[in-house]
Amino acid sequence: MKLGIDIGGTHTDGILIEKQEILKTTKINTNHNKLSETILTSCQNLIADIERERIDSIVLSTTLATNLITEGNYPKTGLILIPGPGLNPAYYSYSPYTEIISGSIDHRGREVKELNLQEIEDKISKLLKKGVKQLGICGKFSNRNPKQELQVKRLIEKNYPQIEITLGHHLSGSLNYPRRVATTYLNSIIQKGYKEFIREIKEGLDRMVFKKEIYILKADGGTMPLKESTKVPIETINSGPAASIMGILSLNKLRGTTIGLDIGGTTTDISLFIEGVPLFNPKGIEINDYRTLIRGLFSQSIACGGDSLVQINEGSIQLGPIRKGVAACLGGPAPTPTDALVILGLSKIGDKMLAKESLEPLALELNLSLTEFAEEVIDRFCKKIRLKIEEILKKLNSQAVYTINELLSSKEIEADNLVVIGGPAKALADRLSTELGLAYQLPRESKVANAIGASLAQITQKCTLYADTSQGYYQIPEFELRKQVNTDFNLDQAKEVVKKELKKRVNSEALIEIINAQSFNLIRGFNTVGEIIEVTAQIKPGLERAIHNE
Amino acid sequence: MRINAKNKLGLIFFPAFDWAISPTHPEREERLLYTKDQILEEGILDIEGIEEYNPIVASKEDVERTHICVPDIDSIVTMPHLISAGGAIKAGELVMEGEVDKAFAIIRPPGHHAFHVVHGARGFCTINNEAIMVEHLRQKYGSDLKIAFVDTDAHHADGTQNIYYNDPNVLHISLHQDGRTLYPGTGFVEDLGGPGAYGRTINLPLPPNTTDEGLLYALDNLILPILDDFKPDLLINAAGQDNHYSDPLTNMNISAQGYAELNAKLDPDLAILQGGYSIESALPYVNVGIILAMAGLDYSQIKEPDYHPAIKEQSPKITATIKRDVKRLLRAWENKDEVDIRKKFNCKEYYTTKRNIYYDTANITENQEVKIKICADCAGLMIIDSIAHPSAVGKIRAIIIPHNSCNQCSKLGDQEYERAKVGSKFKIVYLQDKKKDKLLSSK
Repeated sequence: MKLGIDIGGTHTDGILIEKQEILKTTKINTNHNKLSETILTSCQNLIADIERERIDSIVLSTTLATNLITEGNYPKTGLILIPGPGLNPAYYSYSPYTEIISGSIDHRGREVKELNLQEIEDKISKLLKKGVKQLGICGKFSNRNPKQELQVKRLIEKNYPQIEITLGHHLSGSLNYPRRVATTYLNSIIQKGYKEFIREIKEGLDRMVFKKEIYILKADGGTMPLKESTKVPIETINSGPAASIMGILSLNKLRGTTIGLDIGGTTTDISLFIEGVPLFNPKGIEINDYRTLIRGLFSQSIACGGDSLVQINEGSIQLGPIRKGVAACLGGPAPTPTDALVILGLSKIGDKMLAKESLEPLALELNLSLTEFAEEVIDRFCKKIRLKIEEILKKLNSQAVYTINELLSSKEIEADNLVVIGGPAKALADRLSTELGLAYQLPRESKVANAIGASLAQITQKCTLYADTSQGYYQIPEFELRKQVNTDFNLDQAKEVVKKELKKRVNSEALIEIINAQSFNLIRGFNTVGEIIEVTAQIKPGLERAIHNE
Repeated sequence: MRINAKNKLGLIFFPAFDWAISPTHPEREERLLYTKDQILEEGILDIEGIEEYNPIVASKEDVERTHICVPDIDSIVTMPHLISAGGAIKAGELVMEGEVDKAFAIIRPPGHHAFHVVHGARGFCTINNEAIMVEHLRQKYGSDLKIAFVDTDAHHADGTQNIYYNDPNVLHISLHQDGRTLYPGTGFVEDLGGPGAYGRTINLPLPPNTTDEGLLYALDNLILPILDDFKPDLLINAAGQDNHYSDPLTNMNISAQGYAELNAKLDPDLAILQGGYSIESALPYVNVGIILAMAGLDYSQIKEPDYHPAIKEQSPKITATIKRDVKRLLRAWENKDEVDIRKKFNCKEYYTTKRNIYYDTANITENQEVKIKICADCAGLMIIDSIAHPSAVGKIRAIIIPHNSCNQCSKLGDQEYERAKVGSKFKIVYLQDKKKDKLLSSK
């Protein structure tokens, strides 16, 4: 039996699943001041009359990390940066408590300039005097050689054991220093609040005598054990869209290229699947204007939902971006696309008279009958979504490639079909399908799709091995692993090592796939002196068992 | 949280990680690997206003309106060349269409040693990426476009110079390590262009060990004043990076800062990568420096790991040599239109000259005899007789009708083509009509 809880902005959904059957669902209001209480209540609702032993796992999807970041009331968080030469560090000194220290590592992970320990001690004590209680340490190319980050950490631990520390190279093996800095900073910011939250949940669940492993949903649609997540809470940002995407995946059998539409009140979230595998955001998640290295499922929002404000702007219909409240037919303050759906008989919710009253003045202004006007609104709605999808596909299809083979063989991504979930999904699916020229699926349990997605999600993990055989080492920064090798070490061996190390850490039967494998001969003079090898492996997001298979 | 570029910059970064001239050749898979790492790690591609684009594949027509490939394009040109040239074309189009303010094509292999007539690869170049781009743009946007090249590779840009030697709408300036000390051994102060474009070829040989100081002196005192006067519609920096103090093939002392400052001051519309084989110690830093300078961002903290200020020190003797040559060239530029062409070139109806061209990469020697008609109404018809050793083809003749050809030269070109085809003197005769944009061949 699996339990999934998805904390959304307004509601918290819970679900209990046994094999492929939904046993129970619960929907309560989210109390943002007491998220842990909300979770525990939802849990209680689901398992009150169930023997604890029958529950195999709990997966939580929480907005906590996202909220801590977007609310912006940050604790004093210091950043120790080791940028070496390059872009002006002022561009990414994100914290008001940033200190730049000397030292540098080059692109091949060689230490070019050593740290100045006295300088570091001075700068740290300066930060602590200002009241900083947590520190992020981040060096350029630290994923190639974490030595200096670790040195700084040891220095701080020795003198100030109470300080919470985040290290850049732990968070991602990918290149992009400004993003690594942002990721380090945000992780540092939320660490304390997140730990507190986890402690509360753990206590609550312990009281419920729940002994099994608890998992938390990550941005990449996979899970990680609750305890592990306290080290990298940043991994749990954007788990809402991830839950929705995993929900779509769990409710439908997807073939070809699928566009997922989650139509909400304020926004519609667009996701993409290729042969049933959700696409990733290529560089990393963006949150509160910070660009991070956190891998997330591809999801783009358009400010156009069921409750978007409908107004006339210079003689034409404008939808969104603001939402004034619920639809007029439900007693809301202003006309919305939902009201248009009610007028057209596509939706039966609320009071049709109220919908009519709200839309009529606008119809009159454009010299249209009420029905004509409602048709126009829905047309406009569908068109907006079509244009956004076209823009997304265009961008994805123009992604840069670096080999002749990829340039000549890369195929255009074209949409084949559509899955629609969310409140107005049923009312809008036909129209959207016509506008986009795509067949659609409308999952039955779409109202609790997110919770289903969370409950069925499985462990994911990604890591990158970088070997420089002329320098005689390979390393996997995510696992803090560095080993010596000789020049015989080759690409095939590297692939085996990554797979083995990944498997060792996730303790799962899930399929490990190699998503990138490159090697370059290092030629100096006319001799091959070694190889640079880079292999990235992942356990891709997937479901233990989908609902639609029944 | 966002870094905003002042200038919108298009980046065509195409390292061709799956292609090499040969496994241990400097033009190998590894060449731009560290540049890629540096660009990614610096977060360059996240900067607002810096946009990455894929190259297109240059067409056969693009190559044939620029070069005469012997015996034909299919025997000479392969896909990697077409993609590299396509990268340059993409960069040029982005700028001409106004999609970006500037573009930088970091592409390989380079192009600037490829001559008008091509028998094979020389100086790692087979076809001239930047010339192919310029010819493409001139067909699309008009041949009266005024183009200026500033080639800052350590090697004389003999190929690009050759293609535009007699083209009055294209100014070609090359700064390079003195040809007496480096391949290809040409590019002296006296080479000032053909009779139809005299003074539009400028060569400033720099003494070995020239530093940022000498480079920037030449920029301020020679290049910028000439450009101010010429007023190009499109300014291209053929951005070779082998002037760098760490380059294994040359003896110059330019730093990443010098390259960045050069680009900031020169303010080119386009930069196209040429050579540069210090793949670990120079390219990552020089390329990032150029990108930041072109985007109008702070590049002051870009430094090589082993940089030290003494690198900038230049001997007084070098300074004096550069000052002397700059002065000479400025005078030549100012007087270029006063020159009596017939007297200068010591000829009446045709200017004829002979030369040998060495293809180091393909190990071929080519003998050329060039004949240019002295014409008051256009740049003048050009006839090139060429034979390569070794060669399976034999002697060929190429007749080239210029972009601005007068009716008489066009007619003459057609007649010469028909006449040359008849005899057995030439194995293949080509007619490249730049005005009508066509290439005919007797083959």
